[in-house]
Amino acid sequence: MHALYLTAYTLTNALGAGKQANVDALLQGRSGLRPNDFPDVDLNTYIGRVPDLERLPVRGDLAAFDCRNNRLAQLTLQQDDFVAAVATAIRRHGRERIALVLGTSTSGILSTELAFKQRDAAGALPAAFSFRHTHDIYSVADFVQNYLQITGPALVVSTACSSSAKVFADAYRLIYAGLADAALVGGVDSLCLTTLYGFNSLELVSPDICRPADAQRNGLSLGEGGGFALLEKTPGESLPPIRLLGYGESSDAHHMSTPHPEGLGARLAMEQALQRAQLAPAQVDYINLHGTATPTNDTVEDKAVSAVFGSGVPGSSTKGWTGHTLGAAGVTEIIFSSLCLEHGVVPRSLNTRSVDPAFGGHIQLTTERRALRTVLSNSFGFGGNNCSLIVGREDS
Amino acid sequence: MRVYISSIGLLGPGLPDWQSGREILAGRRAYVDRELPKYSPDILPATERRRCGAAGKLAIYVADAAMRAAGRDAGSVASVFASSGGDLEISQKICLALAEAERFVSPTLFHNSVHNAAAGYWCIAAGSHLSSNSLSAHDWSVVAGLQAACSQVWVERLPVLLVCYDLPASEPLYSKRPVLSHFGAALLLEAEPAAPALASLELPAARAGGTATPMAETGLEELRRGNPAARILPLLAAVAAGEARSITLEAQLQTSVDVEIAPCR
Repeated sequence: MHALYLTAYTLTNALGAGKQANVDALLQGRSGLRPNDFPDVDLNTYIGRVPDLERLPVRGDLAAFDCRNNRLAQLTLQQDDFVAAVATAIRRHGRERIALVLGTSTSGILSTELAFKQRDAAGALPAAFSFRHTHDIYSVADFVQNYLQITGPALVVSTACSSSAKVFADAYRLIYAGLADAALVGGVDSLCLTTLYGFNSLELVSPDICRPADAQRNGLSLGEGGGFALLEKTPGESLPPIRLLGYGESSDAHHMSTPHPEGLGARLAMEQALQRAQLAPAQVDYINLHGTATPTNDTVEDKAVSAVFGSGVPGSSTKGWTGHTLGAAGVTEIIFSSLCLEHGVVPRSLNTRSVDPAFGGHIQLTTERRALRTVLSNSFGFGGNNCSLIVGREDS
Repeated sequence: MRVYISSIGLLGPGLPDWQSGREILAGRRAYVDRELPKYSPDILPATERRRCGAAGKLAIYVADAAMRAAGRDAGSVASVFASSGGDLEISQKICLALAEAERFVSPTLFHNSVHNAAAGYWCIAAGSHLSSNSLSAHDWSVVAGLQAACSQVWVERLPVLLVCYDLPASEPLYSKRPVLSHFGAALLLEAEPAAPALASLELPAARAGGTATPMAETGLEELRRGNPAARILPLLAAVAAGEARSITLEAQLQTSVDVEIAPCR
C-alpha cells in the first residue's frame, strides 16, 4: 500500500456531535441508545437518535437539499473545525483535485416516506417534494460538494452496511490512479421507517438494548450517524500520524440478507486487509467488530475472526454505544478506531453481560487504557458485501 | 490512465445485444425497432430469479453477456455496479406499504431495496467472492462508474466488470425521477489487452466546462438523454466504429471528462 493518512476527521451520532463527545462516552461507558421515540414509529425497540436534527435545517442557499440525512451531514461537517481543514486542503491541492466518496444506504428516503402520506386524490406526490435533492442516493454527495465547493471526482458508494468502509478503498484507488490528490470520505445514514420496519420484518430488531456477543443477544438497535475523514498522501500536523494500512473487500456469494455460515467472505476481507498492510494477525492490537448483536452475524463473525486471529487479539463491537448506523457504520467505526489509536483506548463490548460460550475470539469486557499501534475494523452488509480496514499510528 | 475493454454486454430498446447493437451504434444498420427485447438472466438460479428484482435482472443480463462474450468465468472478476437509482420501484413499494396503517414491509422487498441488490445477486449467480462495488452519482453515474472501475483496474491490476444500468419506476415516483427506458451495458476492463481486446480506453481527470458528445441518430440521442446509464452510448459508439475517437462525458458541477477510445490491432 502507498501512503494515505487521515489528516482530519469528525463524527456525529447518538453519543453527541464531534470527537470529544464520542471519546467521553467511550471512556465513561455511556450508551447513546434509548427507548424508541422516533416520530410516528410504534416499534418496541431502542434507537440511537441524533437529538435536535428537527431544529437544524440545512444552510439557506442549499435549502432544496433539506432533509434529515443532509441535516445530519451538515451537523457532522460543522464539528471539530472540519470545514477549516477542508479549506486548508483546498488551498494545498486545489478544489478540483479533491475527490468526494461518501457512503449511505437509504439517503433521504424519509422525505419520500412522508411524501407518500401526502399524495393528492390522483395519487401524485406533493409538488414541493424534490426526489433529486433528498431521496436520491447521490443527494448527500451533491449536498456536501456544494456545501464545501470541492469539484473532484464524486460518487456515493451504497453497499448497505459496508458502504462507508468501502469509501476508503475507492478513495485510495482514485488518488493512486492519479484522478485526485486528496479525498474527502465519509458516510451519513439517518433513521427512517424503511429501515426500522424493514429490519423488524426480518426479525432482526431487538426489543431490548442491543447486546453484541452476548449469550442472550437477540437483535440489533438501529442508529443514525455521520462521519467524515480527509485523506492525504502525507500526514497532517494537528493529529498523530494515522495511516490507512490496508483494506480488504470481498463477497459472500451466499444469500442476500444472511451471511455465509462459515464467515467465508468476512475471513477473505480480513486476510486481504492484513496482506495489503503486510501485517501478521498477531500484529493487530484491537479489532473493532461489525458486531450487530443479531444471533447470526455475531456467531459468523466470531468464526471468521477466530479463524484468522485465534483468541489472541481483543475485539469489541461499538454498536452498543451508537446502535447500527448502517451506511455510516464503516466510517463511524474507523474513526472510533482512529480515536482508540489517538487516545490509547481498547473499548469494551458495551451491554455485553456474558460472552456467548460458543465464541472462540477474545471479546473485550472492560475498557482498557494502553498504547495501540494497529486496529482492524470490520463492516459487513446485505448482499454479502464485506470490507475490512486497518489503520495504524505511525509515531517516529 | 489507460485500460482495455475486453468485451461488452448491451441491452436497451432496439439494442438486443452487442453483436447487433454495434452495427446500429456504428451507423452500419438503421435504428428502427425501438422495442425493449425480451430477456432472461439465465445465469441466475431459479430460486434467485424468483426473488431478484427487475433492476437486478437487467444488470445481471448484461453482466453475463459481457462475460460470455469474453469467454471468461463469471466469478473470476471483481465488479462495479453503477446506477443512478437502482431499483426505485422497490423503494416505491416500501413507501406505499409504510403509508398504510399496517406498515407491513415484506422481508424480500426490504433486502432487495438496497442499492447493491443487483451486485449481491450477481455474486451469488457468478459464485464470485471478489470485491464488488455499487455506486451512484445521479446523471453522472457512468462517469463515476468509469472512474471507480478504471482506477481499480489500474491500481490493483485486476480485471473489473463495470455494469451500468437504470430503469423507470412507475408513477407517482416516475414523475419525480423520469427515467424513460430500460438500459444496461457491461464492460470487462483489464490492465493489459486481452487477445483480442475491443479497444483501449484512456480516462483523464475531469476538466472545467465541456458538453457531452451527442449521438448522431435522433432515436439513440433520445435514449442517451432519457436514461442515466445510457450516457455511455457515445463511448460504445466509438468502440463500435473501430476508430480512434475522443468523446466527452459530462460530470458534476459543470465539469466533463474526455475519454479517448482507440481500436486495438
